[in-house]
Amino acid sequence: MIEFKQVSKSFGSLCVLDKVDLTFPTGEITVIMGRSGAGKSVILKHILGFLRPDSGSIYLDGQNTADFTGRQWQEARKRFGMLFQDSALFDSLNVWENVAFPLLEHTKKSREEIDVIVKEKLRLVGLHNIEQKMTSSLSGGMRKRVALARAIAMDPEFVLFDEPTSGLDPIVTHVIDDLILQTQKRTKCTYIVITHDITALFRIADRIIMVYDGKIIVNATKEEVRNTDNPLVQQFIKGDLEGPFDIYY
Amino acid sequence: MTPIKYTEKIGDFVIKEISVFGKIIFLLLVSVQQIFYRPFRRKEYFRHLEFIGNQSILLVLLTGFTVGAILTLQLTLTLSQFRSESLVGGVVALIMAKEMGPLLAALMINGRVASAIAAEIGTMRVTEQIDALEVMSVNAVQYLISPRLVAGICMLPCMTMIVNMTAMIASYVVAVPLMKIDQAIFFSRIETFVPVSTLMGGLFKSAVFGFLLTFIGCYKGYFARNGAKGVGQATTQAVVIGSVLILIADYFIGAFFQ
Repeated sequence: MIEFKQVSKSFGSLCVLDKVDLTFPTGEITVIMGRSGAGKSVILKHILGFLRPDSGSIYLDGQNTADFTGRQWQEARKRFGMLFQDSALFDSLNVWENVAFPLLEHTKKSREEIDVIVKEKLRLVGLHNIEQKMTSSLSGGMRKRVALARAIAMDPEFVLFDEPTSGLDPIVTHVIDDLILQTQKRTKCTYIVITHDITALFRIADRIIMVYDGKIIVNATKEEVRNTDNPLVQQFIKGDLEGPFDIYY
Repeated sequence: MTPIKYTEKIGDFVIKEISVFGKIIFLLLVSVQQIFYRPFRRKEYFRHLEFIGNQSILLVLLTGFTVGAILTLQLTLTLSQFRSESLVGGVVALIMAKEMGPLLAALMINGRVASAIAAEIGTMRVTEQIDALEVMSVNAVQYLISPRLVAGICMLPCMTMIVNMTAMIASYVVAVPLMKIDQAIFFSRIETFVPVSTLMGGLFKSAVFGFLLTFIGCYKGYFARNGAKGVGQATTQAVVIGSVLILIADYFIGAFFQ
């Protein structure tokens, strides 16, 4: 379980997180929503230890990450997988090498064993016989799927998604959402997803968190979010121009 | 502009420059340190050795041959005015071994390699591939920079030897059959003018150049920002800064070590 306790973070005079308390329960899909620049990615970077809070603490399975040394962070990060907004596949490597990359780096498995895992993970995301293709020749949806296969290659406990469906058409978006649901169901990992896609959000989320002005204004189930009378949340999920949000911020 | 604003501007500039200097030193130390840390990525080392070395061979062959021929032609014409044209083999060998070989190899390879390194690492930076490495608990400096530094240090002396060798072949072709210089004198002058220590000095210099050009390419790529434009700027700056640093380093190594 990942916990934020009174975490604050500022960049210069801009306060991005203001005494945030958060919990990401084990084995659930938590979706973080909020406007661009609200601090969603900052939360992910704190979880991975790429940013340190100005005050407050972050706990990873009860351990305060502030006490982690560089080597401990390296070990801790092996428990994470991440799917980046633009997939971040290594374009000098082919699909097989991309998915096998964390396994080759961190395990002593033989090439044959790794091959079995790579094929299994690719099958899990609905891909086969593309192992030798270069990633630059894949479509956006396929790249996301390969990136998801790479993210879960090490069977991580936590998988983080930074806008996994941005730039994809609605059908591919649905496919990716289904894959997120299916892989989570199979692996029982903790998934943390950042998305702006409201349809996807209600499709996949167990819990929804909304960040606004450095604070968590919603941390609830999707039904509670749907029925909330918080005008900020309602305006955001409906995409209304009228409401408390400053649309020209 | 008020004195306070002026002081503020100077302060900003100094802070910015110090932070750039700090970044350079930090990256330099970490990348050198990581050469000696496990895992040793043999495949990466060979990939970069092949890229910096094998793929530059045609370029350095052409460079060495043309420069050797030009130098010999011009020197023979000049030295013949003093009836000293027999010295041409030795003089060309000395110039090549001491200065032109290391310098030409470095400048030619800098144009090809530093730009490619900056573009590749810069693209990885702006497309989050370096972040992906870090998330996968892979030390990006060790994976991307250390192998390139080692490849640069190892391959530049080899490329310099090829430049020197082809320059001397061209020199022979121009001097002996065309300019009618005696073959025995041509070779004996080379032996007299270029002791092994001079040759080694040139190779040491080229290893330093190899380190400089790969490091500048890596540094510019690693800290590239602002998408395609940023990568473009990093690539150009890598070549320009690399060339200038090579020339400056050439002077100081010549002044203090040779």
